[in-house]
Amino acid sequence: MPISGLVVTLSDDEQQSTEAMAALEADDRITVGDRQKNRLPIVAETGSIDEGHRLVRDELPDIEGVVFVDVVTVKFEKGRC
Amino acid sequence: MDRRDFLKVSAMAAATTAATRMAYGQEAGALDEQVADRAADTVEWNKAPCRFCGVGCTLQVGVDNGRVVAVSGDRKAEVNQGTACVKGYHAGSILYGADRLQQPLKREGDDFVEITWNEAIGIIADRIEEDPEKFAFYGSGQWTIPEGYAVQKFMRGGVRSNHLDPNARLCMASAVTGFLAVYGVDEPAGTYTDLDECDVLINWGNNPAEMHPVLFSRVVDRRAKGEEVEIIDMGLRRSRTTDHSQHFIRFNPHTDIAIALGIAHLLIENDTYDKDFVENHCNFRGNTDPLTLQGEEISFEKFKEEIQKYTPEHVEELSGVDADTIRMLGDRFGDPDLRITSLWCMGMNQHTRGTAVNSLVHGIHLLSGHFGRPGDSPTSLTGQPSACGTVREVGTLAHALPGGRVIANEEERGHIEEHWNVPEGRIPSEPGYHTVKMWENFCTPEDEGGDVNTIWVQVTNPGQSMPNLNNLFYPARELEEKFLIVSDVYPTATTKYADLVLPSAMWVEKNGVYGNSERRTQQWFKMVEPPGDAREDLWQVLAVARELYDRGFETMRDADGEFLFRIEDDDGNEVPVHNYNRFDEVNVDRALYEEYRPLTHYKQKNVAPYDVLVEKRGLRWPVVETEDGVWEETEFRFAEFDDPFVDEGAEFQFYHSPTGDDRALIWFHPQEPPAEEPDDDYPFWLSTGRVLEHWHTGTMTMRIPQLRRAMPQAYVEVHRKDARRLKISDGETVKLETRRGSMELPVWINGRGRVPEGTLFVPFFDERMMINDLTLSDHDPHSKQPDYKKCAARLQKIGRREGEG
Ligand code: SF4
Repeated sequence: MPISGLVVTLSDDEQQSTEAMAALEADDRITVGDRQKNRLPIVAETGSIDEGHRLVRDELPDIEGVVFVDVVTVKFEKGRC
Repeated sequence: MDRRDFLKVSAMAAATTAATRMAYGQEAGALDEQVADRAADTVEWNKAPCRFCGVGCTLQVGVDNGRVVAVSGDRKAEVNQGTACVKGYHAGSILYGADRLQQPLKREGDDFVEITWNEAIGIIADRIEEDPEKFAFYGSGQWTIPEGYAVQKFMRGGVRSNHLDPNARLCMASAVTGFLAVYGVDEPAGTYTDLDECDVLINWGNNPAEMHPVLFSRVVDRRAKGEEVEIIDMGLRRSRTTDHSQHFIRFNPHTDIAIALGIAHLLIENDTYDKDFVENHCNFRGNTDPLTLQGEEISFEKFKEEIQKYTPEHVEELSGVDADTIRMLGDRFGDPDLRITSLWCMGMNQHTRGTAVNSLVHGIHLLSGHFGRPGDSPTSLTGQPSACGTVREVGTLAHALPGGRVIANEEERGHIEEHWNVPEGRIPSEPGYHTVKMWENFCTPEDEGGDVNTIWVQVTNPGQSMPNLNNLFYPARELEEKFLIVSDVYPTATTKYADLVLPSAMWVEKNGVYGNSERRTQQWFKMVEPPGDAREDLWQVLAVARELYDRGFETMRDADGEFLFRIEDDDGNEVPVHNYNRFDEVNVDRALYEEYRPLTHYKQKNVAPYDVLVEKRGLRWPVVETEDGVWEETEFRFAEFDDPFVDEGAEFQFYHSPTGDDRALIWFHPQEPPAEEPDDDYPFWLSTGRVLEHWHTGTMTMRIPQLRRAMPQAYVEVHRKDARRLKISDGETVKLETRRGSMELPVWINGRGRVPEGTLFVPFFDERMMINDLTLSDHDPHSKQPDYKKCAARLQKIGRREGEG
């Protein structure tokens, strides 16, 4: 069950970024933090490392209004690293 | 709070701090939440540069109970500012693949048998004693600086063989010759700061979104801050970089030279070149017959005459890029108010005319005056973490010596001999064999002139990464007299054919120093123990050196009869670090790095002291000590406002100018055809390269389950129309063939790169599908770097077989 700290860069388009925030908040795997201008810190908790990887690589960047995803930290379960 | 909640809170704190810094360009407050959180955890954190690419991100590596359990981007690192890419944050996992090599192995028939380290060291010493001049060493930019320096001294000063070359020959040798031809000294003038400051970023055949992701995100992030940056992507195929670019310029393979010539033509034609800069700081250069890296002086008038025919229309004919787009590029370079950074890597370097295209791109920056101001820079990137530090600075190339010196120069050999306290003449005066020649000789029977009999490979995988493996690697297997020694961490395509395999320690299992693409030197300490009996590459070299010394091998002694690698403690007593149980008694890295450091002063490549690096996330050389004892780095070389070695009032000073007058050289090179082009028999262009998930030959990243699953195997990208014409469907296995070999692999229609019609692309990370059986060994005349980016190929449908879905 890896836990990743991520920064999502949101679009300058206010409507798109609001919709992106709503999509992220609706995702059970994601805890949304306090938005800093167009940067949104989130924590993703996924069932497997593969799922976390897919989330960061494909799913999040595919959300309309998400411009970029930076990975800040990833915590592995002991022994799974 | 349970451990899980604690981890979530700590991850959110780190992400919030990073978001704040990215949004406001500074820390949110004085409290370092990440560190505070860490203090409460049992995990011990330390810095280390990422093990993978030449961007050189600093990571924080968390160790618990002797094992790496977490990796974070280092928030104090200027390069990556707290982030990492998908490879970087999985870097911890590379240590823990199930099949780590843990014991020295010796080939017996088709099998390997375990042997002791003493036996292994003895076997290598025997091979060297028998035929030192037929012994070669092959390494890479994955060596640390102390490792590379030790091998440099071991080979030139101890074995007395100059046959030392690295994988970097296949990776950035043309960038080196480009810098030498233009500035007389290697390595970029600018740094990553240019990416933060430029108005226009031009990627010349380069895909940083996948290959140098953190660096590219620095540029894209600027847009999110409301800054405008225009990204121009020039290449043979679309890539993830294209998705973020305003312009995609697809050019015919090998015609980047024509595009650069077209830009130079327009600068002169439109009278938009920078007359002051050219008049005060540049000379012009043309080719001689035979070609030399020095060329011959030509006048500005002659240059104008040569460039005359490269009109936008003529360049359109050559390159397939429409004349208006060439004009757009000419206008960008002709606008003095813009700041333009050019970025390149393998596309321009793996090129039979790599030196020419490198020189031309430098040339258009010089001609237009887009040089030396923050954001105005021609900058090459490297693929390996210490290609700059270990290969270019330490000089682990067949012709090179430390600090920018070359073997062919007697005086420069003398500097090194004096520094090593070895007799004059110890270093052989003939440069050694470059990579292609070294392996050609290894694959040629001794009685037919193949005069390399033993190669020791460390930190690289030539059995997969060399071009044209059918000529340059496999034939040696059949030759009794040839002996291959490989130090590595996992079984690879190279260890498979080795006679002796040595298990190595890797990354944070040892101390290290790396130098990244922006002249930044970074240090780290060992954090965990290597598995089983795996040992440091550095120790392996010192142990063989000592064995030879003990056997009376004369040249492992200095002029006073002392061991070449005498390592002392603080009281001046020798510490026998060649005994592995005493290796950690002193910091051997520090001793060797400090021995090497004064050699960097000769060409103003002054690296910082080891103990200063311990405290920093790297420093960019030249690093000089100010009067108040502060060690200051240099962001912009040759520019008076920042480079401490530029004379007062000079504004710009190319102080290693090939013409000895502080001027850089603007070269003319004509457009010429590639080594091989599609024809009726082989109608496709074939290009090779990398993917985001895997690094180099995939020996590390293919052992990270999540990266392997994300990109499990190689493929051939095919354009939809070509697939339709050949009646090939997505996923179908096809036969891919060139004049050098053939292979079968699955088709990915369009693929990630969306190749144009008539072009195929295959990544080289997959050892089960060796694309380098098919690639060309033709190489640039100066850099000797082969062209992996274009050759002629054909694709054949082979139909479905039993068992295929
Ligand atoms: S960009 Fe390169 S150096 Fe940075 S984390 Fe990724 S692989 Fe490592």
